[in-house]
Amino acid sequence: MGESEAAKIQRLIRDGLDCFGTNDVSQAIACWDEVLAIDPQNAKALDYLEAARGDGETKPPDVGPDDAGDEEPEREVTRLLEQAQKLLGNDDLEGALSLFHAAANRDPDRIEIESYIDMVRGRLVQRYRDRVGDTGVAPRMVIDPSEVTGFDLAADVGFMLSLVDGKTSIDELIALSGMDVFEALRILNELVAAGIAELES
Amino acid sequence: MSTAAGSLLTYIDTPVVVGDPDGRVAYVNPAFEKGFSVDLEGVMGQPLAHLFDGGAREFVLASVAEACELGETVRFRIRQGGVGFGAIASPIVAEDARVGVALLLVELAATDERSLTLCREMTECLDDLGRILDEMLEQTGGRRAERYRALVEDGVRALGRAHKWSGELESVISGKPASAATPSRFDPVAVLRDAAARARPEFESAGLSLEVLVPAQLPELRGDGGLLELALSHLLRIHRVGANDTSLVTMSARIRPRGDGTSVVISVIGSGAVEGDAPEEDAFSTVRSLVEEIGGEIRISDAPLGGRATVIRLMVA
Repeated sequence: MGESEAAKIQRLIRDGLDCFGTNDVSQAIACWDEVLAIDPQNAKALDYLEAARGDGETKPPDVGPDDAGDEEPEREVTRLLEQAQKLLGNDDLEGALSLFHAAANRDPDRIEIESYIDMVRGRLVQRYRDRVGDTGVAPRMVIDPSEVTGFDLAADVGFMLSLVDGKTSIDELIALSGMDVFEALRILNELVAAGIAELES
Repeated sequence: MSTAAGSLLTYIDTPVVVGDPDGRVAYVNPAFEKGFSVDLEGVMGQPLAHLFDGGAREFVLASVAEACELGETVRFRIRQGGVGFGAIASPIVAEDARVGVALLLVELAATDERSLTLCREMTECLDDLGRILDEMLEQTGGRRAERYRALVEDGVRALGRAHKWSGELESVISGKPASAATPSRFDPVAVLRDAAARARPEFESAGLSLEVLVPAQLPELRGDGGLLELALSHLLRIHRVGANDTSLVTMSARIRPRGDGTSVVISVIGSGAVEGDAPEEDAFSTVRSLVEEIGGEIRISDAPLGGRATVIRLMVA
């Protein structure tokens, strides 16, 4: 068994947001188009594509490095923040978080963006908690260990997966991983959503 | 001990002891013999500990061990035979790379001793004041007492500074290097957890959620961790007091690159509206001054989904 469709869609959505955040719009569009090839009604992909292909207000300006003026990074950050706000309005917290991160990386002097990131992280933690329910339960791996390589997992996800043994509770995994609650719960949710792990009832 | 060095030390009025790498007496000069009523022949090869009594012995041994281990000069004070001495223990590296020590004992002027005694008296008073203010802080947790609580916190902060300068004064009088030369540092994870632990009971009794997103480890930061804890406690209280019953308050800390260095970004975000603009601004100004005192950058802004966000950036030590 390789990467499940749900996991692949999730990965492509995220990759697309990362590309969009780094102004690689064509690659972002390619990622989201690939999502639609799997799931033509995927709301997130449709929404993101509309924004990426939309009018001049939301579409990143197509200028080369030589044409980029002093105001360019500021406009870029404004565009990202506006897009992130839109996603927040649609309750797409993960998407908004990606774009806030991209904006913060573009303009590290605007430290208020860091607080937007933390605001979204705080809300996502609540959402993740609601999804996992009782944090005293122990997640269990449901695929064969030999299949893990087919999932193209990020290093931190792989690390968390290495701690999942069906006996260690979510609370203990958070403590053992050394990650903050947000990162640990995000990864556990990702593992469950990708069909790699499940939460014992 | 070379003959030349020995003869030089013979003429110094200041008591000097040289210890070998095994912690035994290799040499004492005539000033030491006279001041401490011993003779060189009698103490040669004896443990250094035999030269001093009671508390002075403990101080000397601890300081000698520290000087040898760190390879650095250590300054300390002892009282021997009713006389106060400012002492310096300097490591001496022997030919086989083992470390011995030279101890120089300078008799303290009576005024220095008196000054140090006064410093200690002051410290005791400051400690008493600290206990009293801590107790008052506990009694001013309610909303009606908010203003008084802020005043008590200002008092705690001023007391913290008085403690610091009292310590500096003692260092100056006793000849220790000033701590200002080595900027203080602190563990931000411990500070955030302490601030959260202190605030949590009040959040729980108000039926509010406090989410703390902090990794297990973060690099140490420059400055006074006590001031940051006070600032965070203040911020959490502002959000608790102004929160409605659906508010979520999030306090988090993350590493972020900053120029050529690394910073830690700490945020406190309340999802609900913050009531009462005027008192709130007063309260935020206290937080602002606390953060600026430890060299941090602070920004208070409206959060995108309502509520108020405060972000603090501090450079890694």
